[in-house]
Amino acid sequence: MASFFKASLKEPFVHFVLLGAALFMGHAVWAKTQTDTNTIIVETAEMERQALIFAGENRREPTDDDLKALLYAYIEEDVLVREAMKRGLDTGDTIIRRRLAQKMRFLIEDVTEVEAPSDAVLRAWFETRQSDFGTPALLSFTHIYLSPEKHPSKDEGEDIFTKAQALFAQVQSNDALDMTTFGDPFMLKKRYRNVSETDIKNLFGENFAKALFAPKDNPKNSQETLSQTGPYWHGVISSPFGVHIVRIDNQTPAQAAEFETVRDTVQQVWIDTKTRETNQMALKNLIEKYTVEVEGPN
Amino acid sequence: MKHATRAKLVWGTSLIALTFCACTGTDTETLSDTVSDKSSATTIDAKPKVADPISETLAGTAPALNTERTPGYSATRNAYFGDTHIHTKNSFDAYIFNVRSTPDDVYRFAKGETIRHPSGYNIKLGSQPLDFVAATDHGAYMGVLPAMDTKGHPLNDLEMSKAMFSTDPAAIVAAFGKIGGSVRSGVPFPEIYDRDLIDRTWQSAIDAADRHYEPGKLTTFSAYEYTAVSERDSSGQTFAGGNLHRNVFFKDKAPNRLFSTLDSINPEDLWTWMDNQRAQGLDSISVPHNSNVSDGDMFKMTDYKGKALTAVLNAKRLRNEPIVEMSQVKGTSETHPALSPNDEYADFEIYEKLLSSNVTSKITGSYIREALANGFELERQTGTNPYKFGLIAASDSHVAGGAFDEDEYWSKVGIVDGTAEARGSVPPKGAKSWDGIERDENAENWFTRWGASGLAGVWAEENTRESIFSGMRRKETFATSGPRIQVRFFGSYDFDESLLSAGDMITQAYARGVPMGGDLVASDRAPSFLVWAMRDPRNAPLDRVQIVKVWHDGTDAKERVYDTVCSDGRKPDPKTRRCTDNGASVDLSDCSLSKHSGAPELSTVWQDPDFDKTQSAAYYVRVLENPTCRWSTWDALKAGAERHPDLQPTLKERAWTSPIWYSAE
Repeated sequence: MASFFKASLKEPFVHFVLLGAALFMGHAVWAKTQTDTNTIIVETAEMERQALIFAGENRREPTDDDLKALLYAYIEEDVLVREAMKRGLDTGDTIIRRRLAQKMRFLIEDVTEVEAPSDAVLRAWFETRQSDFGTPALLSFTHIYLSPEKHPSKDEGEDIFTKAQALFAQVQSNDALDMTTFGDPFMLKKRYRNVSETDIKNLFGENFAKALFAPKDNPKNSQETLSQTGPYWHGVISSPFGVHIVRIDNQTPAQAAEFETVRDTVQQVWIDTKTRETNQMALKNLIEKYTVEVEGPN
Repeated sequence: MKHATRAKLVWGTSLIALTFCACTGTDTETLSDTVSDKSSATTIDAKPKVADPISETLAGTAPALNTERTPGYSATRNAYFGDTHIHTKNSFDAYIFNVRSTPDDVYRFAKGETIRHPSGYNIKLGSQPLDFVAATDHGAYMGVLPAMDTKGHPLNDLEMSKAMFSTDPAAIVAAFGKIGGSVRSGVPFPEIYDRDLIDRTWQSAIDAADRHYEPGKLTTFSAYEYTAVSERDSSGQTFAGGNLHRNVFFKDKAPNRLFSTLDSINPEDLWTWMDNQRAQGLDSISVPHNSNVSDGDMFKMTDYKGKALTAVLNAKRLRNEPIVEMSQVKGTSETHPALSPNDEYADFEIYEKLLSSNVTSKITGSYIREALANGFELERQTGTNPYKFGLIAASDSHVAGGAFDEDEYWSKVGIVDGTAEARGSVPPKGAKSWDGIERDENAENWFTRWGASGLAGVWAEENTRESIFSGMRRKETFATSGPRIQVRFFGSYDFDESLLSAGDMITQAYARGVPMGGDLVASDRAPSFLVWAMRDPRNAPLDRVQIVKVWHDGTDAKERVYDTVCSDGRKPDPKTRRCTDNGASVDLSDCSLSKHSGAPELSTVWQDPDFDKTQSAAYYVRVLENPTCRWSTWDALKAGAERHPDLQPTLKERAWTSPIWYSAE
């Protein structure tokens, strides 16, 4: 451990940490003894602490000589820190400023635990954002895949769409066909059951998901489509993979959440939201104590 | 209490951050996937194996699998994506990084729920939920730091605890150094080595894994990290040691006690312990990771103590370590530009600094491509190849959730690199330009070089412990640098082009060939390989699919990289073995991608034009995407700042499969 420590003193990160340490220790001593800036009081507790660190690093108790060396090292460091502070070396140092700001941020954030609100408050809050907590609409579908790699075309995919439309006409006239035997091999599934728009967005991309979940013939009346439960042909949809001929096998409309069943989740989100607001407010309160003047143009 | 602890920890944390970040790796041997050209059917490996409890177990249990199927079951196997390397507050280092997340949070995150990052923001998967996941806290002192920091706990009264959670950075660093030193030396500190507490924490980790296991939906494994580090020399300067970390995970039931470096720092002893557990019915695999910073020790040509390897030890390693985690946040270990001067894509997310130091790791012995080749030489010398492993990737997140997306990155070590400024991707203090900025040397060497990687892919029939674990043992696995690229890879003496348009392509491929991780026996004819890759729709289209061939000529590790199929109709030049550039580009002003180049999927049947029937060789696939912005570029873009001038602005995300091995007579 001792050799680790020696070696690590060459490490800039350690320098940086020790610099921080020195600054803080120096500050503490300075605060205590500012009436007599040329007296260094080494408290017993401080030397006990140093001895403890030594024992940890070296796996033995320090001898008198070790203690003497620790003491000298401590005094050397203390004097250097005091002289550095006298010369104002701590001001304008980016690293020290950043660390101080970070430390302060931790001091003001999450100071008080936000308490859970009453049921009435929580329920009212829930009702303003009910859609965040419900079950989304789900679809089951089967598709035939055509790969642009296997149906190359020079005219921006015209050929592959023509082929897809022809295939669509062929299959939709016969619901008994096994769709999975048509088209090109597809690495994902050819049939999906009870998937949400988010699932499909992740698997097939956003445009495919939107198209899939849009009502087929009557985009303005989603209720009509959602009331359909039996299989129906959706048509040709493109995705980042290529072109798909899609049949909807089943669908389940979105369901609003019951407050009672999602209460715990709502409460957690409420607490997270309030904690974030409180933290922002704490910082804002500090900032408001200051007058900010920005010099120069703009 | 909460804020006080946080403030106290800030100073000491940075140094500590780099100390221990270890990951997983797994390796498996399975039902033999061997094929010969004498018959078109898959045959069981004719070579008798050294008494191998794993093959026996699998051979005995496989046919019985046929009972209850979970939703999504497929006889031709599905690609499942997971993360097998994640830390929580129970890891001694993560606790110091101010991480307070628990194993429950790991599983919640995997299911797509939102959890809290220690730097105060929310994190969530950008893609669909993970299929399998394992929390892998450091086994040594598991749960001890939280206890030391809990008022009323006996450990809280120790001087060491007071130092660790004091306001004095020197004391924090010293106290943390004590624990780190002990993990590495294997000599426990009696006052904090509370075996009972560690056992209870381990039990709670097992309970959490069992509680969140939903067959068909989310597979969880009881797991932990074995945190061994080799010493660079005998001076005891262990901080600059070679990373020999592994993640150990259990197929189902786990033992009451884990085996950590406080039991032995020699990984060979870990394998002995795992063998003993297996004999009692508790099967596990150990997955090495970060060989890139192992100082050449992960894949060396001798045993742990420098003696000659033996067939018995090699078989023991392979039995316990069938797969390797070859990409994660702390770098990708496929190969190094110095090892692969003719591979223009070798320079990918290279990270070379030994744990928490600025010492550069030795290259030889640290990368999987060279190890796959050296394995043949060790097989020649001893009769058994210890480096016949498959490939996965994982995150090694220390905040309970992995950052897999370049455009939504939170790095690894909690508050230490939780902001763009802290990880050095934007200039400090809100500055917009790097002009005249004095760079933070540690951000330069460490955090800025880390990456948004990676994911483990497993081909398995269904999402259950049995099926996923068997896939890992079989090495039917692949690794990605983060995106969900899917890739199939089969070898056979009986494939032709017609396979590519067959509706039952994969059924045929299984029937007439072996999948990734399998073996091809000696033949006069060159084998054919079916490769098929599909893009992640959330990421860039594919540029090309390559096959990397590795062998050993008795003197040197050898390699050759072949483009097999490329986007936009490009064909590989027979001389250079490469396709031309497809012209894809990235607009660095907004990270948007050029259109009209790249492919959604690429497939081909490929034969090795340089096949030599007398030369054993391993073949693995590397899939390359079109370029996209690296996380550091996204960070700068979001901050409206100049991007870091020394970092690569873009990268080519990729996937790698486990190899298929051809064994000459």
